[in-house]
Amino acid sequence: MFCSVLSGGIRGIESFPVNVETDISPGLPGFEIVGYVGGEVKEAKDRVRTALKNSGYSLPVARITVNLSPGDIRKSGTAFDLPVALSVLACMKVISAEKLEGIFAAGELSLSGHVCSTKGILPMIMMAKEAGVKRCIIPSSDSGEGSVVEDIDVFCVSSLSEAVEFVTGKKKIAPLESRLCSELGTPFDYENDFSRIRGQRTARRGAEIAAAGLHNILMMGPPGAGKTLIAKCIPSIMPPMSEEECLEVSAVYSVRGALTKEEPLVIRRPFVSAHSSSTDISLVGGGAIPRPGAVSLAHKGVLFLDEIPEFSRRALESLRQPLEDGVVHITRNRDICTFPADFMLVAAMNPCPCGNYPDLNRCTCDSTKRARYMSKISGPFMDRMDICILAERVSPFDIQSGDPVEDSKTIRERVMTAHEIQKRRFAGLKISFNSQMGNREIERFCRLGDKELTLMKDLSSKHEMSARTYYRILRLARTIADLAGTEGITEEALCEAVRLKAGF
Amino acid sequence: MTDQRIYDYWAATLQDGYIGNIIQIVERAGGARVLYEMSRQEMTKRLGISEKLAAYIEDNRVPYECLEKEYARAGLAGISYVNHTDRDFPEKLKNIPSCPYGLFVKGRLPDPLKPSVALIGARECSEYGRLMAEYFGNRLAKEGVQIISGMAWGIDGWAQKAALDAGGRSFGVLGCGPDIVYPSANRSLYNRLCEDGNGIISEYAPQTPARPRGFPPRNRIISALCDVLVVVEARKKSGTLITVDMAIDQGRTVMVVPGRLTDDLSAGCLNLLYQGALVATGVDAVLEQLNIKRQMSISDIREYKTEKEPEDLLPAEFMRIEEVLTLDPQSIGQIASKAGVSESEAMIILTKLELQGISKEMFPGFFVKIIKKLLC
Repeated sequence: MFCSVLSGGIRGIESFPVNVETDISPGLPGFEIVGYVGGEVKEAKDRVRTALKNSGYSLPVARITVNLSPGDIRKSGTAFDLPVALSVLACMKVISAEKLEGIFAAGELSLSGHVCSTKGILPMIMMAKEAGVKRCIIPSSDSGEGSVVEDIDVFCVSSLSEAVEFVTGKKKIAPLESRLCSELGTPFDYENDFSRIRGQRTARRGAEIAAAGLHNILMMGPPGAGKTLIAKCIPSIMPPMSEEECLEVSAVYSVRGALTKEEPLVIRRPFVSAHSSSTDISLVGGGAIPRPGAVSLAHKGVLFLDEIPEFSRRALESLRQPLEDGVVHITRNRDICTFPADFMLVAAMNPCPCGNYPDLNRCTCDSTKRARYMSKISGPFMDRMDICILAERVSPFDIQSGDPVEDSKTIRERVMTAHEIQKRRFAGLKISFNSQMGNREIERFCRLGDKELTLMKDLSSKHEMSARTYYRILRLARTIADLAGTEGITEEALCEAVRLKAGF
Repeated sequence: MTDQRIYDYWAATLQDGYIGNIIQIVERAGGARVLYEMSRQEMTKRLGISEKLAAYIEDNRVPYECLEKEYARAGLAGISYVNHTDRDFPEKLKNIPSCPYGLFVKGRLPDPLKPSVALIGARECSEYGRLMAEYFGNRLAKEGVQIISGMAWGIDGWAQKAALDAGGRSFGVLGCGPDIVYPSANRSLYNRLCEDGNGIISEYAPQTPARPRGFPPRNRIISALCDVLVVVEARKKSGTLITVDMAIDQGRTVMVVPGRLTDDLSAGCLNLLYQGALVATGVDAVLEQLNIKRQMSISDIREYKTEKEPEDLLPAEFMRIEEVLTLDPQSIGQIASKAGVSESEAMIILTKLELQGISKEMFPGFFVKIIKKLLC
């Protein structure tokens, strides 16, 4: 007797259809799962056998073979428990085989027959929808993720017997109501708002320009200057995410198992802070079963690296490829996993190991020590930081002063206007932000007038600029001009862009 | 090339690990060759030196063929060996208590007929210190004064660079072999000091690496080679003060560039002034100590500061920012709030002032004023 049911495996953050086929035939009694499966999938047979027993079904004394097809893609995770159990029951004729047609099932089983929370439900349902499936069965603890995909009926079950009753039609379960619109529409606030930051006007300006053109930014300043707070505020001045972006980001978090019932969608732009002891794998993702790293968790948001000279060189260099491509490719045996990693990098560092340079009355470092500190960041990495600004220590007087400061909303509006201008400019091109402009686009969109050209010539000879720096300044000046709403790049924009590159 | 020279060269290499007077030991032994061939027991018995020193000398007894090769290799690298008995060995150096046995020289030795000034100071100098080092280096070099210093990072390097830029002569005394560039960041200065009548001087043999113990002894050579020692910036416990002590022992005139009471970098200088060092009020004061009449007519420092060149009239905000700038580094934020302009405006104006050579970014985000006129 042969039966099958559809389920899904996870590769990267994408799901692929897996047909769970079961056959029960006479022979030496046994339970085998085949189909290029990982350790946790092999263990499914013990969970399934016990869960079936504890739900009141005893396995026949026969040879049970389960195949997860296609057989040439590595499968991992615990989502196959429920479909395996269902297809076994279908073979045992507890469920009629036709009832399983057009059904997608995923979920981990506990020994008691309870269906537990499973990682990656969101991308699986999105895959099922694409595959034309009409009905999905998922664990009830993952109902949040199930409720944000539209045009597909998602049913939640909390135990194996409930699933059987549902499939056989003994029990009616109402499909989940779509919460996508309501979730997307919920007004939200960021925990950190620019209205909390007093003083720091240079850094605020830098952050605004960075957000407007999605430029990577490095903040240099003494300890206690508030670099981390500024970084945390940056997502709040970026435009709200579109539906597509929300789903993409949520898929990453689903694979990491980081979505909750209460917040099934990531609607705030992510802010991910990586510690300086992070390894390259924790940053870009990897592992025997590839998992998304910090760069993918920061997809469409901000990745913050504090104290970058303290990061291992290997870890920093590993960021270069995702910074360049916006995706991470991880190759494992025959598979290539792709994780999205389109993030804005915000880095912070002290000006010297003690943090007080250039105040020579307080700085205790000598030039060798400082040079060694600086040299920990490689030139190519520095090249990817479009903006490098100074964050200053704020005096207590400034913090207590009642001067009104702009809140994130006001800044966000200006940033969104700049984004609109860029969207129109790059319509029909593969890029959408100034920071992504290559040399060809720069030549096309950053034309300078005669006066500006002379200024740029003077500046480049004064600063002994390389061609790369020259282009970077043009790119930055384009964003500054977009923020100011001017069509051409003005002298002022160029002058400010040079300063934001702060000496590098 | 005689055998004698090779043995002298060998005796000079002993300076690496022994700070005492090698000349005396060699004289007592009756020549470098005799010392080379002496056994350890003989050394302790006849020369009355300690076991330890005898062992050191024996350990450093390199085979003669190797010495010959080393000597030839130094010659090929443009390094000449000057023995203390040679005619061109600096007379000034012979008279100090611990005269080196010989010197390794790349380029030339200072001209004994010309006045020499040593300009020394802190490695981590301030913008003010840098300006003063450049001012003295530049102006003294233009008066034909030779600038002696340690080629170190900071005051030493700036003073020597300024002297070379002014077309003068400068000599670097190193605490490592004359073929080792230390600090390596000063490579371009090193290269310039090797040619055009300038020189690199060391009492250590070629290939001797830079180690902390090599530097204090070299200070006695700096102070010995100069007529006047000028200290630009020194902290309370600075290595520069060792040089000053040696200069005083050797009877050299010590002059100090004053700084502010609040600057840690001037604490050592002010202390020296309190103890009675002369104040270097300007190039004239130094020249007076050297008994030189100025060849060119140049004005005193104070005049430079007050005198204003007719400039293109700058817009009001530019003027305000220019007034705010000082020799102390200030951040863009500080400058903007003092001048009463926005950060963006300050960035724009600072860039334009930088193009006009009025301001300079000395560290990312920090600006200082440039006082050009001191150096023309």
